[in-house]
Amino acid sequence: MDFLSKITVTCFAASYLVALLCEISRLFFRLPVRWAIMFGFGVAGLFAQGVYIVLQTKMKLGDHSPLASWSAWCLLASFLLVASYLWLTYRHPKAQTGLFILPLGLALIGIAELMRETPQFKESSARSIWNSVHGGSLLLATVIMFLGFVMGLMYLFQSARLKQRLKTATRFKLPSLEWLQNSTERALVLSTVLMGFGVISGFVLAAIHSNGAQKSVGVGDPIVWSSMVMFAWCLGVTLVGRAYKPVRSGRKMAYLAFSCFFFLLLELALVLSAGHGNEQDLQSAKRIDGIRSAQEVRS
Amino acid sequence: MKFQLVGCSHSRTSIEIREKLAFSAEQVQVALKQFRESYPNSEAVLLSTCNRTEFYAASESESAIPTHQQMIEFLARARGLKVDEIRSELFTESDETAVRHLFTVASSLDSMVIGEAQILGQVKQAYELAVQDSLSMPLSHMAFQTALMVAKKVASGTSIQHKRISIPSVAVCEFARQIFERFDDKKILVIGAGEMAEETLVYLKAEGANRISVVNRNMDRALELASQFDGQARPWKDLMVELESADLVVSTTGATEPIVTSGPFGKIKEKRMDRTLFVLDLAIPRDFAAEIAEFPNVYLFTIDDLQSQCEENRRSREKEWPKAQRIIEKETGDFMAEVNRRMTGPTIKRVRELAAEIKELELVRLVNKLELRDEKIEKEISISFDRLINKLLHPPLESIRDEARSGEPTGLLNALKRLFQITD
Repeated sequence: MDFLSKITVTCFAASYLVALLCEISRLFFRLPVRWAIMFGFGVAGLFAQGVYIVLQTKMKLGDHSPLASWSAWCLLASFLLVASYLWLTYRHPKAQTGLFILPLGLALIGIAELMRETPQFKESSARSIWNSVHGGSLLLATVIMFLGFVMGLMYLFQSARLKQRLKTATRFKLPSLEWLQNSTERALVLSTVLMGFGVISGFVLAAIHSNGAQKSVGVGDPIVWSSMVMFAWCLGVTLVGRAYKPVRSGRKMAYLAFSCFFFLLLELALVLSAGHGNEQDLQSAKRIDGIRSAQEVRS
Repeated sequence: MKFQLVGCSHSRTSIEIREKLAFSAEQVQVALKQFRESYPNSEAVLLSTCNRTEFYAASESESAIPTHQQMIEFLARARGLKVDEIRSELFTESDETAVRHLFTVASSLDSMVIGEAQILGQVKQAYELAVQDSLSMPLSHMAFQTALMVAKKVASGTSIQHKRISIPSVAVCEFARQIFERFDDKKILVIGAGEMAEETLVYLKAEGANRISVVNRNMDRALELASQFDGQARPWKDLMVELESADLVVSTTGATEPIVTSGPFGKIKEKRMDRTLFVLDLAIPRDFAAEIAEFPNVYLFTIDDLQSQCEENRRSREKEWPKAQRIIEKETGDFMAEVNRRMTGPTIKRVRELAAEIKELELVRLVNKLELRDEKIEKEISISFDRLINKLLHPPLESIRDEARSGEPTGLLNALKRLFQITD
């Protein structure tokens, strides 16, 4: 099994790239074995990525949480996205969903590589249950929101094509509007629920830490309040959508998914740039807390 | 072995003559019975569809099979027509070209709509009708079974049947499926009760649609169409009310002005709660004003949009034509080689029987003369005789087989018959 340890990011990124190229070539010409090649490369890449994530986790954290750092978090998110792509490709073999999902998966791998040198999450934090719930639910919420965005994008493409009465003989195939609309709606609801878990578990974590010695992340933290704003927006959108049917009809659903997605992107940018949850962040939080305590004592 | 074909089809014969030459299933049975009485040593299959009437005959013996002229006369008699009236409208083929034609027809390459699958069932039905009252039809069985196999090969080896080319099928299977995932929970509104509406409903029903409303000026016709598809008929005045709850509209009225314009449609927009609406406007002039397509979540397709898609699909099918023809050409060659090989069978068998008879006589004579009592020696001599016969007969019989592979082996077969004094 020594060869498995030789798997690098390039291995699975290249596999996904080949799958993406196969998807692109579907727009131009027919090839009988291409679907199998494309799917095969996707599965091979997913396997390689899975092995890579497991080995990296063992190396850094023993047998515990794979969410050891933001880099690992991004890798896991891309893993889940590609897994969703493979499932969609299996369910809708003619639809070119990979054209939309694989670039996102590859972008996440790219971000993971860029963040490779950033400090890891504190070991004790990474192993705690509440941190796993917090990180895991936000990870799933992110992946599902990404999928919701992709479904919304595909909906708009499909809708525009049908509005313009483009011929079906074109090689670009997508799932039906109804399926895309329902999937976008479900993705938005599920992502909001998971985001809710993430926010609540975040508060629990803050409470646990404030009781102990390490008061780290508080409500005043821009990441925390921006997360709350994002969650409030997603919740609002979901509730209004459930209450008033026209909001979740047609393109509106896609636009709502886009708004949530862009909120999420902003949030991710903020989180990743601040290194939220890693050791450096915790230490700086401790320092700030120390300064505040000293000021309180002096006053 | 001989194959003969006389027939007419949409590509060469006018509809008037085709109508006169059309046979119902009962008429086919009567005609084939008469044919067997007139030509007891021949087999016949009569294929009659709305686009063609083709009369195939086959026989082991050239002398037993009717000529083209006799077949035309038979057809004319069977339909109560004058020979002169139909002779110029009919085409004739023999042997390999007749077989090739049968394969081409079964593969739907000679159909009015290339690639339509209906013809395969019709060919099968024609063959089944022919064998119903006939004990043995080995040649027809061979030809028609091969034709069905060739048609399946063409269907699976090419994409000639993949793309739909009728307007209702393209509308439902290519466009509606891009909008809706399922049809069982969709409300289908049919405006007008014409033939096109009926055809479209067939496809929608096949997709699972079961909430169908028919709105028509003539309520009787609406009721008739609605009952045919387990739907409900609605009076014309309810058109806009029905439109409020519809998901898919099929409109085929003969109205000279649009029956749904943007004004009244805008009024029901709110009641529709922005639900997706797919409108198939199959009427000429159009039933839905063009501005309706501008409403969000409304997808309006006219007959022109669908027609251009049909044309494109038709062209796509035609691109597969050479590939399909190559399959037919190869299968025809293989079939004829097999027919020719079978032709040599009785003569070769007779030559071998003759040789075996001579061997037996000579073996008995030799055993008696030498007073052989040892079975082992007798067996060895018998084997030796067999080897001698095989070695002597192998070159001429192989030459006949070679000739059969490249065409009808009549020359060598006749020579063999004369050399060995074999009579039929």
